[in-house]
Amino acid sequence: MQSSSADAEYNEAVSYLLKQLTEEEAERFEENYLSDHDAFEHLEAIEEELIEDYLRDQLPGEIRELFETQYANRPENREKIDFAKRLIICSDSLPARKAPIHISPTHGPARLRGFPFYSVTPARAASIAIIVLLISVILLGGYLFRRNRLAAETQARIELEERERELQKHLESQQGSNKNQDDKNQPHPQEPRSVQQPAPPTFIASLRLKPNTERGASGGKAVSLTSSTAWLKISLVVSRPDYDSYNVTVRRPSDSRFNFSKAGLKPVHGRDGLVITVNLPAQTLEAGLYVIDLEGARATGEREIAHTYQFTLQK
Amino acid sequence: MSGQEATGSDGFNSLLLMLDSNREQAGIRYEELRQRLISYFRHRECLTPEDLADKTFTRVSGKLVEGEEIRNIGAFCFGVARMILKEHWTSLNKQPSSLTDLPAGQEPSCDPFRTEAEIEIERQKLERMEWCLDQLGDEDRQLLKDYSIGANREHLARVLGTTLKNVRVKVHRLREKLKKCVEACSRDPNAYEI
Repeated sequence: MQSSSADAEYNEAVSYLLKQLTEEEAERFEENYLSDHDAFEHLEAIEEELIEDYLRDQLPGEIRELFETQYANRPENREKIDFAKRLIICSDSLPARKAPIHISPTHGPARLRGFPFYSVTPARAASIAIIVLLISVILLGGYLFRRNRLAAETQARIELEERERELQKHLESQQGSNKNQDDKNQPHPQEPRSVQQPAPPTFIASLRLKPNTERGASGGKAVSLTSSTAWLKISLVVSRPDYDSYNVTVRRPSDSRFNFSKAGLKPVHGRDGLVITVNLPAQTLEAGLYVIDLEGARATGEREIAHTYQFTLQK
Repeated sequence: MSGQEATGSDGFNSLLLMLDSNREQAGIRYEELRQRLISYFRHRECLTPEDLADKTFTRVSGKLVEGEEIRNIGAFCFGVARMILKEHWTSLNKQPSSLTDLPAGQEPSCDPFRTEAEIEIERQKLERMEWCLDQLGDEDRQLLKDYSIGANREHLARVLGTTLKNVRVKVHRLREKLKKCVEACSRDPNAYEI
């Protein structure tokens, strides 16, 4: 059973956080938690609990108002509130436990009963529960919506790449069997329907390269580009993330004139770690072997080659 | 080593010695006290609480070098922190702070809508949080969730056979663990350890 002294501790901490103590009381409270780490931990715990209760709309009206005017509007508290928001979004999306801890009906958190502004009626408890449920649904819905959209985009990209490969195969076979035919001839009636449709003007071919692990015996990964490919998107997996920025240079060992470079790149988080993405205009690329140097740069100006990748381009 | 550096180093060593005779334990006590000071300045609406906490330690170290006798280091730090807070407020009154001096992320924005880059950063933070939550044990993860929902925390404490205060502190420590994991992930995505 929670003692009334614990309730008093809770109420004093909430009053401190919401600037409801006199200067003298606040100083006494501060002196206590600055000298005693347990008291400080308890204050931190109550602060986080207060934020979560606010975000879940579980605070009584007057405390809620105080929270908004005395706490939430201060920039130094923004980080804590943002962290709590993320925690709520992620923990609410967790699957329910098989045997939940039984929570008995309640007339509100007992810790707030002694608080001067607090009184909970069954009707208020019910309305709070509905509001919490609604907020949870909205937060969860938003999160799931974003996840689904990301999955749909990934699926669309995969389909696009597959379609591009089909087109490439078809073009190759057409070039072999119809060498002497006029290019403007109608396609064979048995040809796939997709070829009869005009190809979209801007295909993007994707290539994901890992340093030193996906190299084949000659030329690493291969990528085929068609005349309808506008861009080659290359995702470079970075396994050494300890640099301040990165410079990418794409070169062709067989052609010293070709040199594409981009500096000051920052990696972003992908499914399998950090990734740097560069887009090359496909029409300017010729078939052959390409080597990519990823140079790591430090704020001190120091630079070194972090990774090298290679791929073979087929047209 | 210059004289000033030597003095600073001596003061810091004396401070650590005051906190604990064991150097490793002293380091832990130092970090705990620093967190408390940061919290104190934050609750007193200072925008740079870390700087003020470090300033407090610098001044306390200086006092130790001067030979000041300190019986309770926590209480002494509080006294110094209070002085520094007053000086801070006075300096703010004399010199209005510029918006450009505010720490990153605390400057007011004229655009209430998030940019694409900010949305991407937030998505990454959510991913890291999700990952770190997955690293917690099932019981701990469920406790975080049950406690956060907050229908009846006292009942939850009874079920767990402890007091509400103990559960509250346990949940706080779990959040701290998560926070450290998320910070570690943002520094180095390969350091996914909790």
